[in-house]
Amino acid sequence: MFDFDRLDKLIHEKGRLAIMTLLAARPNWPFQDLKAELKMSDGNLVTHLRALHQAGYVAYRKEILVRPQTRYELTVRGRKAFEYYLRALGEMVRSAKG
Amino acid sequence: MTDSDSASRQLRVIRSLMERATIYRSISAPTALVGGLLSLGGFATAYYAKHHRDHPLSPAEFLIVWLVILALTCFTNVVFLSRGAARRSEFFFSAGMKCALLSVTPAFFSAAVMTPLLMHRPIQLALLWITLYGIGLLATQHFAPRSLVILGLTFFLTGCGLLVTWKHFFMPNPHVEPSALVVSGIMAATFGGFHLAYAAAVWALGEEREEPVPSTTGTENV
Repeated sequence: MFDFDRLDKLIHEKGRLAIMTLLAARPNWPFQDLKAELKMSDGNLVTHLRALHQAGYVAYRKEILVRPQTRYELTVRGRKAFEYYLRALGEMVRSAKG
Repeated sequence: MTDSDSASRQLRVIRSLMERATIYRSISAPTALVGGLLSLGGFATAYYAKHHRDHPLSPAEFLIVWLVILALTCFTNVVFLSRGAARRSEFFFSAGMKCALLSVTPAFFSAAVMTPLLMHRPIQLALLWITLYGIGLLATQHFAPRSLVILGLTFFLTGCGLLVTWKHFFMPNPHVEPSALVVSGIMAATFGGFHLAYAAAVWALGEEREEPVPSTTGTENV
């Protein structure tokens, strides 16, 4: 029987899962690119990023190249949590099949 | 829908998002720097042959010079890509590498097939290489970083432009082919200049920066 408590509730939410997935796919993402890729409003994206940041899953830095921008990336803790979440999902599927 | 179905769907969404978001740089900036400098060396070789030897580069010599440059650049790229893969704890033949190879193969294979057919016409060979190289890079645009797409587009547009106009620029006498020095100049300007500009842009924009970002404590804009 699969223990559902193993699924990280913070990551399990649809919007935050999408953010974590994108952050896991590249070293870092500018805010505007994340917003464009996820088609989220500024407010929605900021709220999710704040929640992930407060959990220690996401780090950010501000930089000025051509114009000021904020880049986001997974922290080591965030990457581990995401990998653990993926393993848990995989186990859930396997336990149902067999 | 059962929990298992929901988990499977969740995993499919994750996989599709990750595939869409994964970026693979098939030409590293250090490789572009080395390739660019080698291309300038190719031009220097043609210049030396014309001015310090009793005869300029023959079409066969032109081909050999540029094939050697290609081989050295490819070797450099393999070295840097394998180092990058090791740093990211990935296999050298990662999913990104396989996708890149599959994408560039049609254009690069066409160039390989056409090369022996045009080996006695350096100018046509060079313009074909420039155009097909651009097409090859553009074929990776779905997972390539923006700078690489711009590089491909620049090669493609330059190749197409020169294919249409080269007779006006480089062949005042319609019965005389441009010299190996002129063709080497075109190669150096494109494969040399464009790659050096690409390397500079990648470094200037910090696109290859992969070191972990220190965790910040503020929540501004988060």
